[in-house]
Amino acid sequence: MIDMTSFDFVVQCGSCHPGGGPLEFDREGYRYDSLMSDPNSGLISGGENNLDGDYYKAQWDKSGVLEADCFLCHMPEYNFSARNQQINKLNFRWAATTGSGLAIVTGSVKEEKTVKVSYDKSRFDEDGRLSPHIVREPRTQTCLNCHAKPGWKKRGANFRARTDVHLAAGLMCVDCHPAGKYVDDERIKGKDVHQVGKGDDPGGHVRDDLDNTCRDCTQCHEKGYLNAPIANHSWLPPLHLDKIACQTCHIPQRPVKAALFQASDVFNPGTKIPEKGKYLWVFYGPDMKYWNHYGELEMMGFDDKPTDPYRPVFARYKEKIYPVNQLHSAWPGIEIEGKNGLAQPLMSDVYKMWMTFKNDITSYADLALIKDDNDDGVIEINRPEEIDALISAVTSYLRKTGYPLEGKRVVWVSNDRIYRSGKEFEQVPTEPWEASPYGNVHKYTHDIYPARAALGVNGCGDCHSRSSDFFYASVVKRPFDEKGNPVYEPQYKLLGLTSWSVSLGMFRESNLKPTLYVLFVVLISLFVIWAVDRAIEILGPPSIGLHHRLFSWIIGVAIFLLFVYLMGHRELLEFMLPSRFWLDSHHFGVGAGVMIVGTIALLIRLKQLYPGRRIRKRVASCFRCTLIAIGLAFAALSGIIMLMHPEALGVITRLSYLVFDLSLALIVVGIILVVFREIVSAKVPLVKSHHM
Amino acid sequence: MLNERTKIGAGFIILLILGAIILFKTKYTLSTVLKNESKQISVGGVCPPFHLYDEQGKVIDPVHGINSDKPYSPKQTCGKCHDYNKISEGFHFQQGRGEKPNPLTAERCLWVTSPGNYGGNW
Repeated sequence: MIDMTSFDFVVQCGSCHPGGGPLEFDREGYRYDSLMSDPNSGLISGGENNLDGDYYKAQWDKSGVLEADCFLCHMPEYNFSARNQQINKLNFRWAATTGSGLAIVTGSVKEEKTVKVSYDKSRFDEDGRLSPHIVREPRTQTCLNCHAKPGWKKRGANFRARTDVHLAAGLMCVDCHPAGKYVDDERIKGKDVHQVGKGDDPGGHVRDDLDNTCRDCTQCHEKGYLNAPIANHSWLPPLHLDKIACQTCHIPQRPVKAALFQASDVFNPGTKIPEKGKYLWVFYGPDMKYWNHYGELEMMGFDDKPTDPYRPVFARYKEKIYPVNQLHSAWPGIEIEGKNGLAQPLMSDVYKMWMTFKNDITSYADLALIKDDNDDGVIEINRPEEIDALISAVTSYLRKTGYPLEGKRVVWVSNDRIYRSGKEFEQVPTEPWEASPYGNVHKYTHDIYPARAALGVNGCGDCHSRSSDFFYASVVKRPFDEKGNPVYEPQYKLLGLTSWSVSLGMFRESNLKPTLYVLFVVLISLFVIWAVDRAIEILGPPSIGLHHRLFSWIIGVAIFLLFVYLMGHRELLEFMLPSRFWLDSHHFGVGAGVMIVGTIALLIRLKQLYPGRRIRKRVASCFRCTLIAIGLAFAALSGIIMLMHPEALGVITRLSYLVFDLSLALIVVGIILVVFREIVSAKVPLVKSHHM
Repeated sequence: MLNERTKIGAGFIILLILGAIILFKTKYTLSTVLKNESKQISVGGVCPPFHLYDEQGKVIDPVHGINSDKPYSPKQTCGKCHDYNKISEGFHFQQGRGEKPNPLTAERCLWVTSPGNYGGNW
């Protein structure tokens, strides 16, 4: 049984792959055309050639090979379309010549028509030499000729200035993905070294040893490369930058759809799907609605893909939280006795099985049991009888093709569950970032939003609040339940967090901090009352009546009521008072201020109490003092832990954020009580004393 | 008067001399071109005007009708000055060829023979 051969690989994949490597040399390192042209090789052009995947039914001797085509990247005017036409005609050897626009090529190896070359003499000087327009750094559009389409399907990348702050600023792909002698990373540095700086995508394992050789965010936004603005996160507790990737906050939303679920088990009912085999890939978008990706691509093209914004899923990858697309998968597999992994039937066989059934429903009739349970117009496999039906049909088809099934069993694989029948499955382990061990995971890196649109610009509540999607968003756990509806779980579970730890954060940001800020207003109101009383005492008439004292209370209460009014008018509130972001981002200063004022209040009160007694006894004898003192002690301790955020303390470090704010609240309550006592116990004389 | 044999002999000698001059000139020109093409790249980093070459390494000169029915070979043409083998070692070219698959992928997916799209992945 032969899957895609090397010769087919050139035809099907050569449109993007730039030549060289497997498009030039076989697995033994021989150049395909040279070996096939050698009569001693025993290879026959177009023959089965011992079912050798490199030479099975190949015509390398006629087609030639695709050498690494330098102009494909380095000539901005390179004509991909002309190149690909030659590849489709099996004129591999001539592809570079037409792609570069140097000649017109006629004829076709595929159609057995003699291939002729006619060079454009105007491109050459009088000595027959060439001076083409070639560039050191490939243009962004050049990269997108190949990367645009695959960047959309599962990565949801738009690669447009409209949705990417870097492209809007005029940067090119090579600014972050450099190569050659101008790069910083020694792993890829050197003349003629064409290892383009790469990231670290969980879904890709080619040259993992070169992961993170691209310029990452910090290389520009900490050092100012290309005059990049220096990122200032001084407002953010450092713990965040240790645990969260830059992209997590700076990609709060994705602009275009990405496939969240790829079902390779049923027939795609969509239209305009360009290749037969692709009818076996049924895609669902981030909203788990059916998505005819290939149809959209065919009808609209990459440049006009529609806007379908959605919020990314967050997952832990190598100790940090990233925005990702975790693909869910469903496919028929083959379990082999004595082996751990799974094999799979040829997708072309599963396609043919479905086509046979569609043309004659009595063939593989079990497939008729597979229904559209969620009424979205697309059948899906989710119920036990549907699972059994698919396993049965695929098994029958493979038997019919002569596929050796001894010691093997067809299974249906849904994410991490391997179903041997509709009711019996085995669960296989997944990595923390994976939804399925058989589905790719792609970190989102492109389409970065401007800093002013990042998570956190409205304060901590952008993530740590009940109304935020960061922890409580519903994330797809399994594509379908038995009714055909997706099974969801809260985002925090995917991040490995517990409900209580997230709830504590929510309580802190949604309840405790707002309470603290309200206490500030109460304190300010009381302080105004106290101050007005003092002003009246000093500046007022000799005889101070009750109405004078009421006057100070009216002012204080009015201030408080004004604040209550402003609470309902957020824009006015933020115009008149510090915004929530300001308060959150100056939390250190706010905390320090509370502690200083608390300390002053404590000292004043202690001074009033039983002079001569020991401080500990004086504190213990005064409830207000006790509150402030406990608050100060805990605030100091938790503050130190927050600032140092020792890894070893783990949960304690997390708790310290809550304890710190609780302590501040305690201090403020203590201060309020002290001020209140000062107000009510003030002995404002009814007749002012006259000093001589 | 020169006899017939002498005339033929003299003509032959002249032809030989002319042939030698042409051969020498051609060889000189080609070697100069090659030398210059490889020299200039090392000087400025800007590609000088260059000839195209076919897969056999022969010059293609459409202006003078030399070899102009052959497609050009990027390997022979750019490879005159640049290290084609080093360049095509890049992962954009190799696509995982010659690499072993990631161990976890290999354990899970029995059909995968390389980490790239070449050799079985999806």
